[in-house]
Amino acid sequence: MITVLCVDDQKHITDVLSRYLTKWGYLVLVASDGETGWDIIQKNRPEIVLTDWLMPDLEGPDLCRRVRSAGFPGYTYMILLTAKSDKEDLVLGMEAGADDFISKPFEIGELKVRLNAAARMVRLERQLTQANSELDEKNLALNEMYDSVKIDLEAAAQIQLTLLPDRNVSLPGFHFDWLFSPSTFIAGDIFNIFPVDSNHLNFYLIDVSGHGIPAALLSTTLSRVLSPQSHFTINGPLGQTYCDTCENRQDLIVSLNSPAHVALALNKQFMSDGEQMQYFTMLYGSVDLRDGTTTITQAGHPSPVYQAPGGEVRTIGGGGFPIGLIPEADFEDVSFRFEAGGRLYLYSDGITECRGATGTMFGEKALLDVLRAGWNQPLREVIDRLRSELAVHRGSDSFDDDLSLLAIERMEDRI
Amino acid sequence: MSITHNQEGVFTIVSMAGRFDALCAREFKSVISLLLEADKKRIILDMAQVNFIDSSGMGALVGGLRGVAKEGGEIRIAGLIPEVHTIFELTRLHRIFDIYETTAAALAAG
Repeated sequence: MITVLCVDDQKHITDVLSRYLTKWGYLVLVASDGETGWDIIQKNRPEIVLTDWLMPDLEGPDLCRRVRSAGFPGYTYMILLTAKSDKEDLVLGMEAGADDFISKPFEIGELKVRLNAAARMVRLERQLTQANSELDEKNLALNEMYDSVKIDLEAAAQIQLTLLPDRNVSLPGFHFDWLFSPSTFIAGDIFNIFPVDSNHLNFYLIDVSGHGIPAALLSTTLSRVLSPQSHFTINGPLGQTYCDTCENRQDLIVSLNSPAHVALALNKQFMSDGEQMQYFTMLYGSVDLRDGTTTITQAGHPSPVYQAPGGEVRTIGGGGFPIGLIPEADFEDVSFRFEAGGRLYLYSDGITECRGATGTMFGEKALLDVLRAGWNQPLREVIDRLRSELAVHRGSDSFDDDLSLLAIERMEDRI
Repeated sequence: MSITHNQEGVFTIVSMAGRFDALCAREFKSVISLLLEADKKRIILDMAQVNFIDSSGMGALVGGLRGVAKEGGEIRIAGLIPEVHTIFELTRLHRIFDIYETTAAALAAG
């Protein structure tokens, strides 16, 4: 029911109004002067106010101004009852905040249709308010949900970072550093470098197809499967790396087998099936610390870049099947000598396929240029330079694929 | 990315254009399953207008090949531009698919 307040200092007017309005289904309140009307408005919040213009204390337009400046949450529809008909008066009334005018003496039929129009406005405004408040509630719920997902993802991102090799740990005769930039909180990229016995240092970089949570679930699993249980223990009872859950442990004794065997075992265990077609590309390698002989297998992954002492760069390997895509896939080992003072860069295609504003990709050549130019600089500086060149190319600091790069340098003074 | 297809004798030629990425991979999968439902299982993929393929695209292609092969059908790939062909070579997928220089060559190859 809609409440109408009638304000007039002439009792016979409020009596007539009250009688008709009640008959038409409105709840009617009455005030005999402006100040009393204002008190009722504040207390009862009627939707429609029908007020006389000329009253001894507070005139109709003043009452309109008070209502408008009060900033009540719902709308108050103000109708001025007036004998005035000058244009100037009407303008003044509208400026004061009146929505409509009814001329005195009023005609019952006109009063009825004007109140109908007012009631229609009031109902529309109510619906709008209700819809808005429902929308606000839904927004609030969505925001809460987003916040909780975001908190979870940030925690997951922190956990994922702990799977990456610790930059502060030194390896025998080698330096390493890396770039890791998930496109959304967590990445489908993962990499590691770790000694498996006193003569071998293994490393890998994996890029799971797609990105985000589904890719991160697999990359995290792979990190556990491939990394030794205790990182960087050189003289421990090593030589074997186990997967706790794998049925055939022989398959996952990765450390001393050739990289191609590792790829083969993973291809068997992580074969994609069904709708998702989730698979990954991998570069896996092993350095023999005694003479620098390095064996890598390239499973659908971009060729790594080897930088000889002096700065000359070349890519190694000619490709290979991704892992988890083709059941009968085979994998090859490729060997090269990791010279003292040489550097090896493993990276995911998020770097070379990073698209700029015009759609052009960063490309292998640009990557090689940055690496070549960074020859005399520490790995950290080369990586920082690459990161900033990528951001310049992209025109932004956010990327649409995961970016990762693992840089390994064999020191001059050992082996 | 846009995918269209038309019939050419016993072959259905599926033409694609643009980037073959995750978004397109979904569309590609549904096109392949629609064709299989219609018992159209000899498929030539005209990829001459595809300028890039990512890992999701590769996954969709292999998934499509598996589905079609299971029904006794085949997928031939035609018109790869050099950049895309390089990605096929890097991932060795050129050994899994029958690849032809042009759609005409794919049609003519019996």
